[in-house]
Amino acid sequence: MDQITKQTELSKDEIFVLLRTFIIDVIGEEFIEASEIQLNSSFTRDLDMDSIEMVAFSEKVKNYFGDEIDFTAWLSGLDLDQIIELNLSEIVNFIESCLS
Amino acid sequence: MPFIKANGIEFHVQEMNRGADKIIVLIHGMFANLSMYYFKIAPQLAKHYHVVMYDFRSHGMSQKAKTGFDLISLTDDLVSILDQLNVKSFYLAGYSYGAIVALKMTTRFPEKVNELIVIEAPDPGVTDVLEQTIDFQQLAEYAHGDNAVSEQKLIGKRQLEKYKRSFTQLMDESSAKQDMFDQKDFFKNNLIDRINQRTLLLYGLSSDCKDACNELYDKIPNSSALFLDGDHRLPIQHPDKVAEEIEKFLLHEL
Repeated sequence: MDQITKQTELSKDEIFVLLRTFIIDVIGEEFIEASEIQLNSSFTRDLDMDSIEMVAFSEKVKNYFGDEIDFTAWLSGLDLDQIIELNLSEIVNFIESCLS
Repeated sequence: MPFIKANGIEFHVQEMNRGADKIIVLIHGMFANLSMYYFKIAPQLAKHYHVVMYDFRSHGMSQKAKTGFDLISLTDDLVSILDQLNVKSFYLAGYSYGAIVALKMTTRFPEKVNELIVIEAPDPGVTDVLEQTIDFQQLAEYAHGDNAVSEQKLIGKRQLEKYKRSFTQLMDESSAKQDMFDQKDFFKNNLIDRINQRTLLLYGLSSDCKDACNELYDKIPNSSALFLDGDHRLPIQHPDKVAEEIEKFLLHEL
């Protein structure tokens, strides 16, 4: 799942399902079930992820999409408070906008 | 996830802009991890530099260790990681205890460090230095789950358990606390006086560590000091400003 690949045909739902897989990989399936991860889930408040888990998640996104999206630049443009409050739909929308 | 085995430990290492000619290495503080740089400071520096970050042993996603939190071991870790990345010389920035590691790195391997950025280094000789930089009481409260932060649900049950495990592992089951206390004479070490590298001392205006800044300024001949709004948590409070000042310093605009 961490291989760089071209995925320009992904729909919004498919991006969400993919990111959900990344989150389960990072947190561990013993701690979270797929049904608990919703499009409007916030990474810290709802998914209880800390900053180093966010790093692991970001790396999975970057490794998967490669040069198709500049995830680092997008994240660094957010304030720390915005990163803390970030929810899954914001990332899905960003990735979709890069792929379209 | 990129991991490098060094000194028998698997270290979590992150790099940005690997193609750049100039390399800057960022060292985090005790009880923190590379995420303090990853989201804001590193991407800004990566516009012009190859950025290398890593998690200390027993921190972040690096492997747990029972010993090796003294300055010799921590600098040996970094040298071994950089050797494997084929990094020969670099700019070096460290925060809090990571800044002490950066100073030690510069005294031990002066040929490797081009220029040095010291962010909020405390004086390890000050008896309450740990209390200056690490809120042990708050960490203990996190670990016991009776902190107001947890009550406000700013931190969930799984994170609470994770903090508890990390805290117990570092404070009760490893030599970390003793190793940090054992560095108390580090500022008295006259090797610091011989640091020839151009050095930026970056501190918060409200920092408890300002005396350490003054001491380092007196000791390091080619140093300049810069105070920004904020306290000891300066890189967390104002990451954009910290990155901007590091860039200016490296461009010799400071």
